[in-house]
Parts: sequence; C-alpha cells; structure tokens
Amino acid sequence: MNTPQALVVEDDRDLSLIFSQALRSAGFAVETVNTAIDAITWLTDFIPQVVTLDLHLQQTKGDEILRYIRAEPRLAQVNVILTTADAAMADALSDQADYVLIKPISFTQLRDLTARLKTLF
Amino acid sequence: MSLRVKSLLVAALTTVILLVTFLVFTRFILTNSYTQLEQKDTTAHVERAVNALTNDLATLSRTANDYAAWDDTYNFMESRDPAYLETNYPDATFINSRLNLVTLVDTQGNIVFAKAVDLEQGQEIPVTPEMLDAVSHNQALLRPAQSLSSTVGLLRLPTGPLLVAVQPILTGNGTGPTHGALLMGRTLTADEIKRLGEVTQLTLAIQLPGEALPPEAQAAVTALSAQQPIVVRPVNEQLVQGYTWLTDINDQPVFLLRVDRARDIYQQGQATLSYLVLVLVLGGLIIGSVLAWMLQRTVISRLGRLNREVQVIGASSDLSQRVSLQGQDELGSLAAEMNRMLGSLENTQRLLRQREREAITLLDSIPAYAFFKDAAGRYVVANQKFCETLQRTREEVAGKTDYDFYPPERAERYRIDDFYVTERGETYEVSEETIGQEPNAIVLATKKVPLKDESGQAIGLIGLAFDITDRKRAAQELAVARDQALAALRFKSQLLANVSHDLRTPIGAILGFAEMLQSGIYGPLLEQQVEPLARIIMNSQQLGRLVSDLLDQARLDAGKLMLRCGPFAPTELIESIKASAGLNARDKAIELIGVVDPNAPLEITGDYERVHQVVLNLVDNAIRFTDKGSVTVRLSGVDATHYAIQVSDTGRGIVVDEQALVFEAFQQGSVQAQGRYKGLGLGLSIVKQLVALMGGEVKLDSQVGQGTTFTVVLPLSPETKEQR
Repeated sequence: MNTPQALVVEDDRDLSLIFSQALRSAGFAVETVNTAIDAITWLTDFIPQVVTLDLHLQQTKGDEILRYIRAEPRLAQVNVILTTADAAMADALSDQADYVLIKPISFTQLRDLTARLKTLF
Repeated sequence: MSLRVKSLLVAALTTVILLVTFLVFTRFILTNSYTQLEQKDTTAHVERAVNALTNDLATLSRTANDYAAWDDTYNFMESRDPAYLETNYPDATFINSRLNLVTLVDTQGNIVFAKAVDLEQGQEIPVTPEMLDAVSHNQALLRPAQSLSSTVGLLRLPTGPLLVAVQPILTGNGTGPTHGALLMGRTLTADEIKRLGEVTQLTLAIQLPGEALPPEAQAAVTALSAQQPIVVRPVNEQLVQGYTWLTDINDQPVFLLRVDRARDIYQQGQATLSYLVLVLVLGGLIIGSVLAWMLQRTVISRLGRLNREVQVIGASSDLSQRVSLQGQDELGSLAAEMNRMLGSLENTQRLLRQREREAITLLDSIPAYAFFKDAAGRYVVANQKFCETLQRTREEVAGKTDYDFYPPERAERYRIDDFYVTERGETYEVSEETIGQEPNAIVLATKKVPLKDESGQAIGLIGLAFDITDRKRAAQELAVARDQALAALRFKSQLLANVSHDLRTPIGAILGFAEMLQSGIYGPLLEQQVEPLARIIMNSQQLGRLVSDLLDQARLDAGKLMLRCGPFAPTELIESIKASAGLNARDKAIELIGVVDPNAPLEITGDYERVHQVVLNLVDNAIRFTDKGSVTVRLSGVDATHYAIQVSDTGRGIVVDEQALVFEAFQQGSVQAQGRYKGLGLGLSIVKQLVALMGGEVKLDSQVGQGTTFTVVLPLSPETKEQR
C-alpha cells in the first residue's frame, strides 16, 4: 500500500511547516502549496486523502478550492480540514468541509486527527 | 299700554260703572216712587171730583125732600089745586135752586106736573116727550112713588146728563101713605162742570159715551174695570189725566169723568233726579281723581321708578348698581329683594370673571396652542400662544372659525375633526401633523376633547396642539446617534475579530513549534529543557484561549456563533479537561479530580469544542480561585434528556452580593483579589452565554470559606433542547 498523500494549502510559512510536520508525523506524504492556483493545479494530477485548507489565502479565497473539490467527482473521497482563524466563515462552510479547526491549531491536535483519518483508509 | 294708563283706565271704568249702576237704580226707584205718588195724588183728586158731584146730588136730594115731605104738596096730590103749582114752582124757584126739571108723579105713575126751565136763558121751556118718556118709564125713578125710599143719581138724557133726586110725597111729619113722588133734575152742563171745577179747584171734563174719545182716553177706558175704577195716565211731561166712570141710577156707566192735573210731582222727581246725577257725577269725578292720584303716588310712580332703575341697570350691565326705592310695603320688599339678587348676581359675576381669568391664565400657561370652540366650530377663547401664531388679539379670535384663519382645505379638515368630537362626544387625537414647508415646517400633536353640559351633550370642545417639532428633531437625531453607535459597535466587533485573527496565526506558530520540539521532531530534549518548553506551550494555549474568548464574545454579541454538533463520549471530555488543566493544578499543588458518574450517559450529541470550552473555563476559574485542596469535575445524568457537569472547588467562595455578578462580562472576583489573578473576566460571561446557546443553564452554589460549585445542565442532544 502506497503512503497516503496530503495537501497543505497555507500561505503562512510557519503554519505550513507545522501542519506538514503534523501530517508527516501521522504518516502522510505531504505536498504544500501557498496559492489556490497551485493547489488546483496539483489537484488535477493527484488525489490526496486529506487536504488542510486555509480560507484566508493572499490571492484567492480558500472557499473556491473547497468548491472545486466538492464539484469534482474524482475528488469525492478527499477529507477536507478547514483551518481558519475566522470562526464565522468556518461556520458558513462547515457543511461542505469534513472537519473545521479554528486557529490556533495545536500540532498534536492536527497530528492526532489526521492519524485517526489515516486508519480509516 | 303702560301700567299707569291701565290703572287709570281701571279706576275710571270702575267709577263709571258704579255711577251708572247707581244712577240706573236710583232713577228706577225714584221715578217709580214719584209715579206712584202722582198716581195716588191724581186718584185722590178724581175721588174729590166724584165727591163734589155726590155732594151736589145730596143737596139736590135735600131740596127735593123739602118739597116732597110737605103738607102743601101732600094736599095738592089730593086736591090738585093749581094755586099750589103757581105759588111754589115759579121760574125763580128753578133759577135759585138751579133746577132744570121738576115733575110730580102719582102713585100710579101718572105724571101730574112737569116743568122745565132753561137756566141760561132764565125762562120756561116745554118739556120734551123724550124727557117725559125717560122719567115715566124708569122703574128706579118710580119706586119712591110707591114706597118711602128715595132715589138719587144720574140720568142719561139725549140732551145730556141729568142729576136727579126722587123723593116720596109725604106729610110734613114725614108720614104716609105716599101720595106719589117728586122728581127734581139738574142738567150737567158745561157751566155746571166748570162750577164744580171751581169748587174743587180742579180741571174737570165729562165725556158722554158715543162721543169721539182722544186716543189716550180710549186707552184709559180700556183699562178701567171694577177692580180699577180709577185710571191715571200721563199725557206728556206736563199733564197727567185721571179717569173714572160715573154710573146712572141703574148702575150703568154713562159718563166718563176726566181730571187734568199738572205733573208737579213728576217734575219734582225729575228735578231731584237731575240734582242727584249732577252730585253723583261730580262726586264720582272727585273720588276717581283722588283714587287715581293716590294710586299714582303710592304705587304707579314707584313702580315706574323701579322699572326705570332696573332698565338702566340692565342696559349698563353694571351689577354694582342698586335700585333706590324704599318702603315697608310689597314694592319696598320687592326692591330690597332685587337689590339682594343684584348683590348675588354681582358676586356670581365676579366669581365668573375670576374663573374666566383663571381659565385664561391656565390656557396661557399651557406650553401648547390651546382653545375652546363651541359646537358650531367658533372659537370661544384661545390662549396667547395660539393668538400670537395667528397674529390676532384674543378678542379678534373669539367668534371666528378656522375658515377665517386657514386655507379652505385645512379649515375643512379641522371642521370634520371638530364635528367628530362634538357629534360623537369622543376625544380625537392627531399624533403628528406637519404644517408648512421645510425648513420652517412645524410638527403638531393635537388632542380635541369634547366639552359636555350637565346632560352629557357635547356643546363644544377643548383643543390642545403641542408643538413637537423639537421633540421630533431630537428623535431623529437620536436615531442617527443610535445608528452611529451601532456602526461603532459593529466596527468594534469587526476590529476584535480582525485583531484576534491576526493574533491567532503567530500564537499557532509558537504553539506548533513548541509542540514539535516537545514531541522530539527536532531531536531529543535535555532534561532541563522539558519544563520550560511545557510552560511555553501552556502559556501559548492560555493566550490562544484569551484570544478565542475575545472572538467568541464578539461573535456572541453579533449573534453569529454557530454550534457544530457531533457525538462524543463523557470520558473523552473529562480526560481532555484533566490533560488541559493538569499542569495549572499541579503548579498550585491542587488536586484535579475527574469523575464520570455510573448514571452518566455513554454518548452525548453536542458541540464538543464548546462543551470543552465551557468546562475548561470553569475548571481554570476554579483553579485560579483555589489556594489549596482540590477541584473536582463530575459528569452525571440528570434525566432521560439532560446531563450535568459539576465543577467544585475548595476555594474561598463567593459572597452572596457578588454571586449575581460573576456571570457579567469583565467582572472578576472581589476587589481585594483584583490584580492577583490573570484573565480578562470574560470567561464566566462566555460560559453563561454558551450554555444558554446550547439550551442549558448554569447555576452556582457557594459558601465563603468552604468553596464554590458550578453546575451546568445541558441537553443530551440538540433536538431535546426545547424540552426543558
């Protein structure tokens, strides 16, 4: 069985590093992008098991990526974890996401969550 | 017609009626009395005339008796000696004794001697056969010839009435037997009547039957009867006539005797009556004048004065004046009563004016346009403020209608409002009416209240119009201010959200790297590095929670906090709490005990993160305010739909006064404790709001010095939220 893949969409370099490390600790092969275009470009070639999605990206809003994933049947099995500091937006999109984590997000919290997800596959 | 004229008329009329009545009765009585007197007098004179005639007859009878009861005559009737006749019955004897006829009749009724003389010519005239016939065939005349009785009376002859006396012929001693009868007759001529009149001093007349009677005599003859033998008739004002029948020797009425008398008595009566009328009229005039004068003086002139004075007072409307009439009678009392009433009226008027002044003062003091209107919509009185707006005086406004002041459509609108109030008797209100154009427009709030009389009928209205322009503007300004305040609040919430968001990212980075260090990703830690790293993590988490609290408060304020529900196990919750708060408890050497009761549910559906937040807040709080002992977290079942989480400490407790305040934002313990503990004071406030949002409730039970227990009761699932 191949190592499951995870995509971290986060424009903050520090958080991107922490989220990647947490996912790697949980046993995922991690790809990081910091723009929505890069994310969607990557998603056209790969099907990850988990995507952590920051809703506040510099250029594009994270919810467009969420809409793209949900509109794409190929990506139906993807677990989307919204990571945001904006609880209001998280509330608005919580129906479409599988999980919502409000920043600050604990390293161990993300690691433990994704570790649990990994066992489901 | 004035009272004076009326009373004078009454006095005059009364006097005249009295006079006339008196005069009519007097005239009737007097005339009657005098007429009766005249009747009696005239009757007496008639009787006197008859007596004079009777006396004449008696004289004639005595003369006849002188010749009849005489021996010479007696002897002659036997001897028939002519010498006796020549000696005793010459013409001179006839003339002296005023005899017209002498006859001697024997006992068989044969005429022995008869001689007639015309006394006017003084010579013998032949005895007419009619005369002899009348004498020899009359039984009454012949009776003395056979008896001792005599006969006296009147005899009707064709030549005129004849006084006759028949005596039986006897001896000189008056003894019989009778040798016949002697008759002497005297013709009742005009001269004889005249003579009788002279003797009796009366004007007499004799009328024979068959002579044409004048009309007044005719009436008298008709009235004569056995019951009324004498009739008196006035002929004119000067003459009265008395009538009576004279009967002949056969008791047959043959001559009508008339006595004429001057009407002296009647004239006297009339004169008396005239004097009486004169006296009465003069007396009546005097009495009437005196009566009128006294009436005028005592009643009418005073009444007139009273009337004039009352009229003057009435015309001037000056109730301070009084009537001057004095007196102890009814008029005086009337004047006194009038003065009393005037006094009472004056008082009432003064009181009324005072009330009016009070009402106007009240109206003027009202900070509104105020007025009274009558039922026809006319202004009765308006206050100063209203009059100033109309630029009219109060007197100019009175009696006018809205049509005199306002454009027709506005006046019409007011008229309809007024009609509603007076017709229905109900209060009418217009809460807002804008008059004029901006920026000079004013806004009025008007109230019209019906004014009712004693029977409840609306007789007008009271109108009050308040100028609410300033209030209106203030309200608008207030609304603007409120909008601004709300905008500021929104801005604050947004700022809070933004700040906390921007704080979260670096906190997340600090926490993340510290945790990665702790988990040995960057290599094993030295023993002395473990503790400082744990403290970095704990403080970062605390900072993260503070930022979360701020954000949560902002979302709660905006009503934007949403719950994300899912299943979780009570044990998971309690273990996580112990892990999160364990370090803090250990630092203060406080035992942190987590208990899941045997009756606790196996699974709960709810927002795990929020429940976790609530319990951790309470536990952090309990640790913060407990210096020694323990903090216990206990999860237990309440009923089929609810569970409870109790957080108990052995801290110093909360005084009763502060218990109600602990759930308020930015309150934290007592004043003495301030500065000693960390935190914003938002924790318990957020707990209360979150619990409420989840459909539960939070209570506290605390005793100072013994500790505090917070109890949170929550529904087992969101669907059962409403059941409690």
